Amino acid sequence: MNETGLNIAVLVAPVHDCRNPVLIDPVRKQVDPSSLHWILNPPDTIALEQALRLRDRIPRSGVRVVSVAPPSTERVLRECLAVGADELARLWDERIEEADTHSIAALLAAVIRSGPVDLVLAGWRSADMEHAQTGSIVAELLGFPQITCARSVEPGRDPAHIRVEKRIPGCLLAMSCALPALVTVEKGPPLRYPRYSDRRNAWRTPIRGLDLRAIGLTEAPQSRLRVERMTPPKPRRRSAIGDGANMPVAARLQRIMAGGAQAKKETNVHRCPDRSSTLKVIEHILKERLVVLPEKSGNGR
Amino acid sequence: MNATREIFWNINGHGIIYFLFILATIAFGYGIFRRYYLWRRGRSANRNDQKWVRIKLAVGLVLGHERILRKRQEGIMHLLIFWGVVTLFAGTIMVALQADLGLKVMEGRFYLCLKPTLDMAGLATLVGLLIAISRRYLKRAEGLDNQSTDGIVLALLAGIIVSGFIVEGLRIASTHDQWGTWSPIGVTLAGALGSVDRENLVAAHKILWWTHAALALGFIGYIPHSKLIHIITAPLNTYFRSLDAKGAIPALDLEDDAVKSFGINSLEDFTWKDLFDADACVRCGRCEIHCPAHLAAKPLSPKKLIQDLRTHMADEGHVVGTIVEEEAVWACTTCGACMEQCPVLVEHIPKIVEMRRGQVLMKSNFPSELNLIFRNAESNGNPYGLGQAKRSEWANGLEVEIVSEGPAPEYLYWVGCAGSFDDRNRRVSAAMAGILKLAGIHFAILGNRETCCGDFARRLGNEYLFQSMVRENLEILNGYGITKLVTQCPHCFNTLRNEYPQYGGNLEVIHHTELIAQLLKSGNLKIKSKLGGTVTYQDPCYIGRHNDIYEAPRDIIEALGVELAEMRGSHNESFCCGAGGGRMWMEEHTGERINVKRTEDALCTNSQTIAAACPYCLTMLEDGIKFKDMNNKVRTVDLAELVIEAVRGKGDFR
Ligand code: SF4
Ligand code: SF4
Repeated sequence: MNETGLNIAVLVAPVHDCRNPVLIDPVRKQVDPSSLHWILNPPDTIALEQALRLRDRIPRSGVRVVSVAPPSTERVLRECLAVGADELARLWDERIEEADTHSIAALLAAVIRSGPVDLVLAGWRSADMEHAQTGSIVAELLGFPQITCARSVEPGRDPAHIRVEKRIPGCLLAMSCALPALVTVEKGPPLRYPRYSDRRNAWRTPIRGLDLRAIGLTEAPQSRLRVERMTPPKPRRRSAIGDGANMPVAARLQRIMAGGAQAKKETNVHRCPDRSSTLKVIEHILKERLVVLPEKSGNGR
Repeated sequence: MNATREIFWNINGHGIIYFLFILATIAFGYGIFRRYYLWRRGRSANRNDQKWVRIKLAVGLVLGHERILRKRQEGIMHLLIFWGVVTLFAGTIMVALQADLGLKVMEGRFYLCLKPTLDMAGLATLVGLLIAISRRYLKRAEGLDNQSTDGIVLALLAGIIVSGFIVEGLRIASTHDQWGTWSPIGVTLAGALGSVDRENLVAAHKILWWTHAALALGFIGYIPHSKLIHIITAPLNTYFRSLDAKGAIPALDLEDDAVKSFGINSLEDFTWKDLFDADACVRCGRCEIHCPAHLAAKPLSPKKLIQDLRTHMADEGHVVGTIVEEEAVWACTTCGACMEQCPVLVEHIPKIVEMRRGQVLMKSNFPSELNLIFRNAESNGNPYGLGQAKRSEWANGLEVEIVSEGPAPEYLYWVGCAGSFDDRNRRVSAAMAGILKLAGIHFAILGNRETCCGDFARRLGNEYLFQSMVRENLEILNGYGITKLVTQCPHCFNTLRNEYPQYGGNLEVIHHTELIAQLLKSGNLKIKSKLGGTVTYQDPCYIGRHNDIYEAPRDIIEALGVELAEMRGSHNESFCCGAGGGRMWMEEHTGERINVKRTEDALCTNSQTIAAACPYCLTMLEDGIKFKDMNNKVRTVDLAELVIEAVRGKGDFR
């Protein structure tokens, strides 16, 4: 089968970026859809990068991105084309709106089956529901062997195999898996940044949206799971070490924890140090007299 | 009797001179044409509009030496040589007019005035040459590299002047020229030669006359084959200067479908002006000795960059990775020190940014840490990668108006990403809000609708990201009908003011130091208690060199009653903190750390306080202070924080 290279399908889900404010339309008292910010599910982007690297290493291979997502996500899905995916298959039908993980997986499996496939890659979970089930169910439905939470996916010893590494407590596990197979990816290099020229081409590539009929279905799969209620957790005060926007000591701590004065970027800050590093930090503070008792607070910040 | 002299006295067969002249002209013409052919390979660029403005500016720079004289010693050196040679050249033309066109110019009173003038010109040139020789070979001045061509040029010029003087002396001595006293140097030399018999004088004259003529013609022929080409290219380069705002990076049309390659990838992607620049460069090294990247031992020297471009101008193929080292392209902080110093107005930053554009837009090849930063900015509208929902958190409890919730404000306070997300700089934003309130200014912020201005993206070559930010911001600003903005970030300030107009923005932007200085002056902001002590001030590149704001911050410091201790390198010679040009977001692998170097300068002033007027400077200097373990003794603040301290009364602002 591998004379034609590897046919890789990547499952990609667009998710809402919860870091951006969601605006409420004051007139219609509804969420303003323009404020909903779609991004690619971060673990899926890592799976996509693995797929692209495999494709680059094995001649005549192709990457097909498969997604069950509404048309409004097309803009962000095109990113997959911009970074180099060869094809984008997006399936949507109004009736899918309320689908549970199993139904989505069934649809994904049906789309995957509609083309040649040797390897399916997916992020190990999605950032919205966090069931971490989609990949596994798809594998079962396709009858593929599966490996979850991989750290790297590389060409195998022969064209009919791939080599997968994952970490389990205390060691790194290297496995060989016969193709076809499905691998969910946990960690890996970040998705490459597209060239502008590729991005421009991606905007212009027509994307054919698939509907249920295109994969031979007349009805959406039955959903058997329903979300009853969502309750936000009670806000918890974060410890001074982790947060404390207005506490100068904390600002200093952040720097220390991020590697002392070497660091200058907020992105380097580790917000949840483990116990031993916390102790080290406290030792350091005491030694360096970074904290001055309040009565002397004239210049001790 | 009419004062004059016989032009070709003692010279037979002077017709040979025409032959030599033709040879020199051919060497000159061929050399220029060869370079011209290379310049023509570049892309088009319009640098010939507003002719009179250009001429006026060029006159000051070329004839008046405005830039060159900024460095006293070499300025005077060049001024002497320049005017000396120009005068002598004019003198030679007079001779030619008389000899070849038969015009009787070398006669009478004019001739008598010409003689001492030319003598003085020769002397001036000689003095200039001596300074040059001592700078180059004895003092081995910083920034100069000695190549054989430098020696040849100096030797040629010195040879021409010295042989000229001796020829004159010999002629006066052998002809007992009655007008000889009008040439003070000639007559002095003649006096010294008085004891030599006439025969020898005449023979020596003949030899030296031909030597002088040959050297002079050799000089002309050598011009386009050496750095002497700057005699032609430097004045033209000042004429072809950019007339855009100093802080603006040239726009790039991303929409144009016909364009297949963006930024600079191969040599043909440079504009003709970029290539011309390389031939105007005189290797003076002024750019290099002010370049923070070079001084911190990074693999970037603006001088080397331009020279390499010159050396490889005839090559084909890639630029980055072959002609210019990849790391060099990313080492630049776009501080503008090179462009501020360059006496011939070479434009370094646009070239570097264009090369970055080529790398980012066409190759997606950049330091790996930027991948995250670009994506952060793309999905969250800021390089920090924090949610937009947190953008106005700094204003919680400060009762700051949000534009969407009130009447149109007088000023929109543009907080910027650092002022919104960086803990330390959030305190500056709070101080700024306090100042505006105390001054009774009606202001508002965009709140969570503000997006990164795009400065870092543009300077990192990610023009796509930059333009999408510009579009988003302009849409929102125009939507609220905002035209007046104040910001504490020089980068936002420069980009909004100088670069947004490229995309239809029409904003009046003021930096907080300017506004505060105005408010203090007009009395709208009153100082309760003077602060005292000494403070040193870091001129941020983007309000200083890129926008010429040097006095407003100093006016504030004066009004605060604080003594200002200037650092080594202030005003337009300020040394970058190291964070500009997107360097804030990159790791520093090679060489020394720029911010530490600058912190050392600041500590040398022995001030208790280091004042910045830029969130990046503040971050970098504060890091430097910690690195130097001085954070218990010296504090770093933004000027706004000092102001609120003084306006509210001491000790109140934290
Ligand atoms: S802009 Fe600054 S860092 Fe960049 S080359 Fe010029 S002097 Fe060096
Ligand atoms: S680029 Fe300008 S400042 Fe730099 S060496 Fe050349 S002439 Fe001198």
